[in-house]
Amino acid sequence: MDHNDAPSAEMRRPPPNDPLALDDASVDRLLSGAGAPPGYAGVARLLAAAVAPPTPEELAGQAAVLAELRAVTRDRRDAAPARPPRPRRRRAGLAVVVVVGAMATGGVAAATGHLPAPVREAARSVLGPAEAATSPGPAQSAAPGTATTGSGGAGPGGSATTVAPGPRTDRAAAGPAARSALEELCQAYQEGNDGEQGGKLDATAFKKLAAVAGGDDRVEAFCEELLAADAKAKGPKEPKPKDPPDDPDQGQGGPPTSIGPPTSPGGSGQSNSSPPAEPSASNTPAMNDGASRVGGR
Amino acid sequence: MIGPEFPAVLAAAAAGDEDAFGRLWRDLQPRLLRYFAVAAPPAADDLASETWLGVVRGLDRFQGGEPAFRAWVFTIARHEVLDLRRRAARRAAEDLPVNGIVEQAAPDDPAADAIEGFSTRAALAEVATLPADQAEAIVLRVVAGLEVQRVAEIMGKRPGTVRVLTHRGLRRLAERLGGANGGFRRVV
Repeated sequence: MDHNDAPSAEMRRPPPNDPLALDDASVDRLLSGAGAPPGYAGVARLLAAAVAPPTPEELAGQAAVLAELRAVTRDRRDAAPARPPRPRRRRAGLAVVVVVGAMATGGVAAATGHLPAPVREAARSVLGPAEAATSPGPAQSAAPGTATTGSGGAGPGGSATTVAPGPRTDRAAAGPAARSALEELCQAYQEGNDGEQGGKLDATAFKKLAAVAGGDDRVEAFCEELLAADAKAKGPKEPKPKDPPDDPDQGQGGPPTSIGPPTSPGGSGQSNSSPPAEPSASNTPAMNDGASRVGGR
Repeated sequence: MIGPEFPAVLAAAAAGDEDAFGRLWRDLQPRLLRYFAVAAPPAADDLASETWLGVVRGLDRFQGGEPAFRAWVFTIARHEVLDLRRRAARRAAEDLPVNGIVEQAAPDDPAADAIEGFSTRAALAEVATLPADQAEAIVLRVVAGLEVQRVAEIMGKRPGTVRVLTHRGLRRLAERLGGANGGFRRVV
């Protein structure tokens, strides 16, 4: 059994008739594994066991949380190009189909000569869905050859006005065909982006793309997002929404000195002076190297 | 504990670096599991997962040093416990079986513990027999390694109250365990 015969000056005197009475200093020593007051050797051993080094079982399951991290990080990156929040409308998905379909049936047909093969294929691939969709019609009126790029505005005439705009369209609702058509358009756009005007993607196709993306100036970001999102295979499912507590103890950037005596029991120097643990799974950081000493037998 | 490298590790983890995040995880996951082993034993794994979900989602907004980070993680952890208790209470009120909170498990084999010393599990189970506040105060101080002030914030109590809870819990353990030879004298 350990005796603590050097009581600090500031500690409160325990009542002399109580053999198990504790003062604050003794409690701190006990909790940190630095020593057990009379009558507390068993408690000291128990606390030492409570902070014994981690077991392999306790360190299983890292893969799951890393998958979560990947998913969240990816979501965050996708959302990174700051855009004003737009309402997410289910109709948007339909609109995508309509626009791309319209491009296939109308405008693009006239401009086919300018279109690279992928875009033509893309157009073809969405013919079905587009016709099935109840088109509001105006898509057809988009004058094929006359629209010019760079005419600006998120709402070019014709089909664009019928589009519930926004890059955050519910792409899943657009169906795989329309989605891949958009991807093709985007690829064509990106490939031709640094070529001369109208290089890879002609004015009309660009306009359609702009309409879906929500504006000429959004095409780039839209395509980046779309292609990036689809390049990465389906990630883990969206985790259920849960907000961590809002105020994460802001501004506690103080000195990393005081993890508190309880963290480094036994005075083994494990906590503060330990070399940086390698991030390898085999190197399991001990919670308390000095655990076995704490009881101080 | 990660130490001086913590700010760099945290920043990397917040940016999605898996090695860095793994270090945070390996440091805190065992502590979380042990906290839950006392606060909500049967649900420890689930609650730990939920806690990390909260950590992952809030990581890029967190600011502070390592002690603050620990306190933040355990704040989330405690919310999980409270949520679980609320759900359990609701189920109980609806007269359905309660899955979340079960009576505390008894230590495995007290006789063996007396001879060989405690296993971690037995030690936590013993702490878990204390009144909930006392057990929580002790575990947050010892296992989570938090100072009184932070424990008080996490538990929503005054520091003085946390001290009293800790004293009482330790004392109760001492009465049960005895001190002379460190044995584990409880008869089951």
